[in-house]
Amino acid sequence: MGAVDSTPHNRRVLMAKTGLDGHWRGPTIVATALRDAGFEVIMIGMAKAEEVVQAAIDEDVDLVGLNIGGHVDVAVRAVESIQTACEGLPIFAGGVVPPHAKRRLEALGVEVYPPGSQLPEIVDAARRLTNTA
Amino acid sequence: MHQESDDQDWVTASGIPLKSFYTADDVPSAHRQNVGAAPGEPPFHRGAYATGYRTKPWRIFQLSGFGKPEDENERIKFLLEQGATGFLKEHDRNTADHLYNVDHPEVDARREDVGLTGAVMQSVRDIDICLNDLPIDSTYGHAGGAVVQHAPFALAGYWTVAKRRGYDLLRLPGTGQSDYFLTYLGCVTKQQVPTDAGLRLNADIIEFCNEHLPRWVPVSIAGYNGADSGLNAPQELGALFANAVEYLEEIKRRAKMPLEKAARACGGVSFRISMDVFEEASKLRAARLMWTQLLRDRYSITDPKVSNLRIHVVTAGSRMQYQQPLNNIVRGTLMGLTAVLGGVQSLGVSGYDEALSIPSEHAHQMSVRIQK
Repeated sequence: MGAVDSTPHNRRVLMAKTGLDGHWRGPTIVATALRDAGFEVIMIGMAKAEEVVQAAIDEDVDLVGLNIGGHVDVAVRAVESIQTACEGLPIFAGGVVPPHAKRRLEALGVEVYPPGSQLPEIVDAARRLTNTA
Repeated sequence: MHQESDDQDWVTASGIPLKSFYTADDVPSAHRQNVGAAPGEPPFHRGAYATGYRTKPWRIFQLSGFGKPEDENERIKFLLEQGATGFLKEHDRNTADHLYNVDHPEVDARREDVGLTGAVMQSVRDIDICLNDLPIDSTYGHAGGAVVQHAPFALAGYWTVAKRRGYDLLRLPGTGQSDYFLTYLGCVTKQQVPTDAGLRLNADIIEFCNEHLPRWVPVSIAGYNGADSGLNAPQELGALFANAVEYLEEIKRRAKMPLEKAARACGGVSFRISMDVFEEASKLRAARLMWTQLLRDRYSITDPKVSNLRIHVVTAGSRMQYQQPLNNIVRGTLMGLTAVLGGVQSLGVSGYDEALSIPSEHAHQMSVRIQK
């Protein structure tokens, strides 16, 4: 009892964009909200699947947030790479994710926050996924 | 209990306080001298041309492109058939803005994204296919090259196609963009071209066009990306003209062409129009006035042909909602009207499916119909 720190201060979230598109406002706003909630946010921007994995290992993160701006197959490859290399590491995702893409990602265990999601809802998810709720 | 609302409670989208009504006494003293100026007269706040849209309608100018050059060509033809009066070529973001070959590992890692936002065009042949059967000698075309590092390729490719078709470059109409806000804010790339190198590229393009393509608009500064990333109306105006001053100072330093011609070349700009009708229409009026006064006060340029700012508007993509896309037709209409009330020369209305995808054929058709 008491061994687990129940505040997010030592929880690290990796934020990455899977695509090469120019839509940064969403991940920037989410990263800022997570920082303001006490998380340590590592924003690596546009990254290939192996770069996301490498950063997740190097930074010893507790959660990965993916911004998805293009085709869902690109995001699925990143998710599968992370899950293979970092077993049990939770992943959540946002961006303009259409319903069919949302279903595919959810089937892989990824929580998806499409347009219309509220920041408190996303911050709560980050707390829950890092056991600091 | 009904409470009298205080004037301070009402502000524009930019936070400018609004009174419940205005009288002639509210015109600021510094602006009084301008009040009598007619449309088409400096400082042009009331409009660029004396007869407005009665003699010169705005250009219907929609972004378009996806897939292969053949697909993009087909869509451009569709838009022109529907009533568009110019066309914009979109290049695939992965291979254009990022300058990756299509088989580069960065692109291969996102291979399903290739062609989602524009056609892949990596050779003059590709550009020729994209422009197949298009009257580029008489139609105002946007060659692509939105970001500074891609513009030299996009422009040279377009001009080469024109030359091979036997057109006189001295008479070729069109534009590129080479916009700093797209390059460093809206469409940033994994590896960025340094800003001073970007400035050199743009000055090269301005000087080259002055010599070889005098009817071409060499660069077009865009307020859009700053605005859709959070700048309010005064900030959008300030950022755009600060950028124009940078270009003019560089051209002045290089001393290879008359500054008046450079000012004319930099005077085709674009703004974003969002949902605050009166503030946004006023922004375009203020833009023309600011450019006229800036050229006069900083550079002693008073030729009305130079100081008459030409404005393109794209309606705010960020106001196109994901949840109820058909409502976006109403929003697009309102923002398009606002741009027209502000006196634009050229307009693109965002597709109603903007939040879901690049425009479908039907969304494109609606964007044109809204303007007809």
